[in-house]
Amino acid sequence: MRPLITLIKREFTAYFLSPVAYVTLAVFLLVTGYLFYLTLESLTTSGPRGVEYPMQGLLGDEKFWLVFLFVPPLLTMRLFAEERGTGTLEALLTAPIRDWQVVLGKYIACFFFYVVLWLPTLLYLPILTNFNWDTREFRIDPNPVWTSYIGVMLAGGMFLAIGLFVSSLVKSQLVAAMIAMVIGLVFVVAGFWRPDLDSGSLAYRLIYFISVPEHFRRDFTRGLIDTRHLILYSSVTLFCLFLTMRSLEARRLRA
Amino acid sequence: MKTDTRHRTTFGTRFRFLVRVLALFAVLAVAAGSMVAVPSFPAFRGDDGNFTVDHVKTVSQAIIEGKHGASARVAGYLLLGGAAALALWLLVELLSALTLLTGRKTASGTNAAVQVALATALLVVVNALSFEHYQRWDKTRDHEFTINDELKEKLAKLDPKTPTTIIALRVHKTATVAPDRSDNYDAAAERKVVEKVRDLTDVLREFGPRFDVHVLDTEDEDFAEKIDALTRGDDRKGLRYALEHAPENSIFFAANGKFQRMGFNEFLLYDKTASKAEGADKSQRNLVLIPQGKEAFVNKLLALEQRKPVVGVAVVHSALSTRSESERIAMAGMRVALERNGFEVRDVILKNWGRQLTPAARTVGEDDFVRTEAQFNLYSLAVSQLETALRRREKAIVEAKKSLDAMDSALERRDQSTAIKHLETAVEVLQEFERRRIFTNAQAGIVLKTLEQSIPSIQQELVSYREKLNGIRPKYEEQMKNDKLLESRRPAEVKARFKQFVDSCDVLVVPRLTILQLSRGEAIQAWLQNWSAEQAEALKEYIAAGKPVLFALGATSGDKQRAGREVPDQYFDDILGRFGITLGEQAIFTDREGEVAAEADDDAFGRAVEVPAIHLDLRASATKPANPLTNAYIKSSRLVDGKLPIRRSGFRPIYLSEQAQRNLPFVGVIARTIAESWNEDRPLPEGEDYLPRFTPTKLGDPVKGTRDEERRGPFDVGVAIESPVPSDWLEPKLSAAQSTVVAGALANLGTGFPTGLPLAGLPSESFLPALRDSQKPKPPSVRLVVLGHGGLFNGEKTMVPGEEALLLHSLNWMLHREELLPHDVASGQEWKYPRVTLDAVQKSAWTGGAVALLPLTCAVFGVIVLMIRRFR
Repeated sequence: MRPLITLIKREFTAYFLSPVAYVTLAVFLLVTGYLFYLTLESLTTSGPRGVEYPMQGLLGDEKFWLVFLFVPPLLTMRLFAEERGTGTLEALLTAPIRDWQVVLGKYIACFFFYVVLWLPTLLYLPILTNFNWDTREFRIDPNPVWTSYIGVMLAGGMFLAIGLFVSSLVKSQLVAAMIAMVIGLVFVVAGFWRPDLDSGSLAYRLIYFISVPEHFRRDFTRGLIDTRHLILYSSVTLFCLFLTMRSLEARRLRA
Repeated sequence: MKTDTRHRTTFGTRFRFLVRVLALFAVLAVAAGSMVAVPSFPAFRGDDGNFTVDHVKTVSQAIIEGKHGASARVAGYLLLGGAAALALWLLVELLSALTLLTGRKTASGTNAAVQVALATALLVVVNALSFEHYQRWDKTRDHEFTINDELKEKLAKLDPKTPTTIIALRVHKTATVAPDRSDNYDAAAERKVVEKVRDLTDVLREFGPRFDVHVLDTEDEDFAEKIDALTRGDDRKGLRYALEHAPENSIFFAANGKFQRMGFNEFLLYDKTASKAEGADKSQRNLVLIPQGKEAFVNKLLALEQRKPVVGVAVVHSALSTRSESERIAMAGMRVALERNGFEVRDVILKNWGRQLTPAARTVGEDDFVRTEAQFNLYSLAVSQLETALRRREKAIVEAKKSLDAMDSALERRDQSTAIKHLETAVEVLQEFERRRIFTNAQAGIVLKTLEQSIPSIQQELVSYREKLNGIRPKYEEQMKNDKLLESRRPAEVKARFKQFVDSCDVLVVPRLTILQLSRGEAIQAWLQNWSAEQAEALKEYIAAGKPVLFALGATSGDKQRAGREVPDQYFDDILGRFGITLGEQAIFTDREGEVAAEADDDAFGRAVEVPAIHLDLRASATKPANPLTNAYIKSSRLVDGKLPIRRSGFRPIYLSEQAQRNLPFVGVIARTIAESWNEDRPLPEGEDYLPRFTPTKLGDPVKGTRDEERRGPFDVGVAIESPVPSDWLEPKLSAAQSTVVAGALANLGTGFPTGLPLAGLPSESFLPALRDSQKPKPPSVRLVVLGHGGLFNGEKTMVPGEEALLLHSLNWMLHREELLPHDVASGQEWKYPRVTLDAVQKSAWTGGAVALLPLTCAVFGVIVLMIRRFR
């Protein structure tokens, strides 16, 4: 386990030494901050306007997902591609550490940084749940908050795994980011295209099945947890991690 | 020249290059094929968004059999060719990716390939399974997306294979009772209801039945196309009509050619009053919707398979019926309102309006048949008589002319006797058509001429009657084919026929329109509308069976004033009296109507007065809660900001006895006039001789201190009660004559009932306490609504919103369909947008912190890291 923990530490620390991570963090918080501002406006307005589920204002918005699309590739693009570019991958692969530990270590480090990315958004929660500091009660249902965070973590995990896999295949970080983005687009863009289909039709159900923004707009942000989404995110994550491992193994064999 | 060995060109790379180029052309081919396919293939024009096996079949037929034309064949080739090329590309790319992932060492490569293939298969299988078999956990605090076990059981009864179409139709009218012009609150309420319908349908879908949900908006440009697509097929014609004539924003449920409608407000009641309540300031405003329960939605869904409740309407003349088009007095508007709210309406006509007014019990169809038959017979007779008359006249003219000509010839021959003989013959013929005696040939000539002149008018009249006869003949012949109508011609007992009619109804409406407008003196005589004893007996038996009746009975005092006599509602008085309800005979005159009358202005007198609205929002008493109908009405009125008035002239007082009120679990009175009114014995103005005005009953007058004393309002004008049926209505064997025997038997049984009393004189209920529980008749409970105005539901085309609400609530309540009554929820359970209260400083701090401070902090840290790295 020690090599794994060491690798996680190394990779996690590396994020904080890279300006890209800070730019990602700043842009991410700028967008979520703006969406929080819009949600706050809806929560404090009067008349027939408002937002029924405050988390929906934050994560159910298309703008969020357009920006989010860039985040995982930016975090994962360097993981293997940089090592291949600089030639340190061979050193890593010949080091006394197993392939799965390499993959898992990089993935966990990356995921931790992803968690760090979301930590500042916890500051919005007193408003999003209308927390009463005196009585310590939530005047807005807090359950959609934690269901949303569960969703965000699992979906993020999936996108990171895709990015990690792509990064293991190519040499250029930019190419890795672009390919990961294109693959991620499959899971995101379907949510932007909301045709006026009957929600019971097969076409809609298929679109809904893979559309991550729709999962958040309709389920996670409203306090619903759907096994379809959980299984999709988990299975794709595991599959991509497995493929990454196979990719490293194939590289070792080719070498 | 030396080639670049870094990029080796092998067969594999060339092959992949060619396949990728082919795939790009395939994309073009599929795109082009789709464009041609959509207008060429009927199956592609569906809007259900499903790609089915039918589509593949259609394409195959287009190619193989050349169906759908040449363009369809081309489209088919493009689609199939493109799809094949794309499939090839996908296969090649997968194999390439596999090679990349598995390396080139044969043994381990094969092993890795198998692993990847298995992992891929696992991914696909796991997701395919989860796609079909999934679970949604509702973690909301109020379990908004969960339905209870009872509803689940109900839904389990639906056939999962039969698709149910749910259509949320937005016509931009929040309710039939709402004004036509909607505002931003109305629009927001509409959107929210549509959203909630979708949500609920998604929840229901988990329990098996297949639902298709569609949203139609009359303002959408493709509204007509969408409606066409949804109402294809003969079995959906009714649905189409209902969609096109929906009076308000509605949800339609359709399956197996049947459909049901519910207003948005039956699902989520829009509380406009609360939405616009200003409170401390306008910043407190919010959209307020009152959930009416998922039950109402599911029940409508299930009601597709259920029979519609039948409302019987008993009137004395077809002009007053719901099928009539008579201005002001028809109840056509009531039919429209009831049918679009899921009721079936049947009329029964209770009088024969021939030379004598006799009781009857006919449907409107039967009444129409009787009238058609009478007209047909009349026209047939007229034609026959005119034809005979014409023949006789023509014959007479010919014979008279012949005789007169012969007479002229005889006169020329100076043959007087022959001439006289011919004249006599002519006179004999002509005298039939002339009352005065004909003596001379000159007189005979005049009569002949008159006769000749009459021929064209008779012919004209004959043509006219023949046209009338031919006009009515098809209808009559068609009716003659109807066995039921023919059956109705047979003489039958009125009671039996009326009983047969009422037994087919779930609820009966008994209107009796008397006062139309007091200030104009417009009234219909009440006695003309009185029921016969056998009709009343059938009604009594109907009520005794626990079936509900809505009485809308107008004042009768106009009869006494105009005709000098009054025939009271003897039977209704008797029936309602048993439930502690007494009908006042006077009409209630409001001060406003009195003021207009007192202006002694001719114009003013004929003017329609805006009568003050009656109160229907009567609050609970100290000991009893408000009537369910009152609660429902108050909720409905909140839809329109409390503006749901009922204004009618000439209500009559309705009195509920204290005993009856004590037995009720709620306040019995549902309607009351304003205080500025009085009960008038002579309510109709009589020219300049008499104008109704409040004159308190003098001391010494026999009616002083009674209900009929002329006094100031307010007056109760409507009651809604639920009461057990009088037991003697149930058990005729307990009637006075037989109860003696029963009592004797009871006495012998040692029940303690004293013997030797004049038992026959006691009411039958007196014996009930002495009976054992098992012997006691168990009277059913009946719900009755009695309103003191006969014209509340009259209107040619549409009903007044307030009156429609009262009618629907009354019927639903009487039919025990409480779930369809608008109801309140506990405080805090209303649907509202969540609100957070922040002052300007707090809001600014939160906004600035989120939008600027947090990202800036990260940026600053990033710059510091960059600086440190450069520094190192």
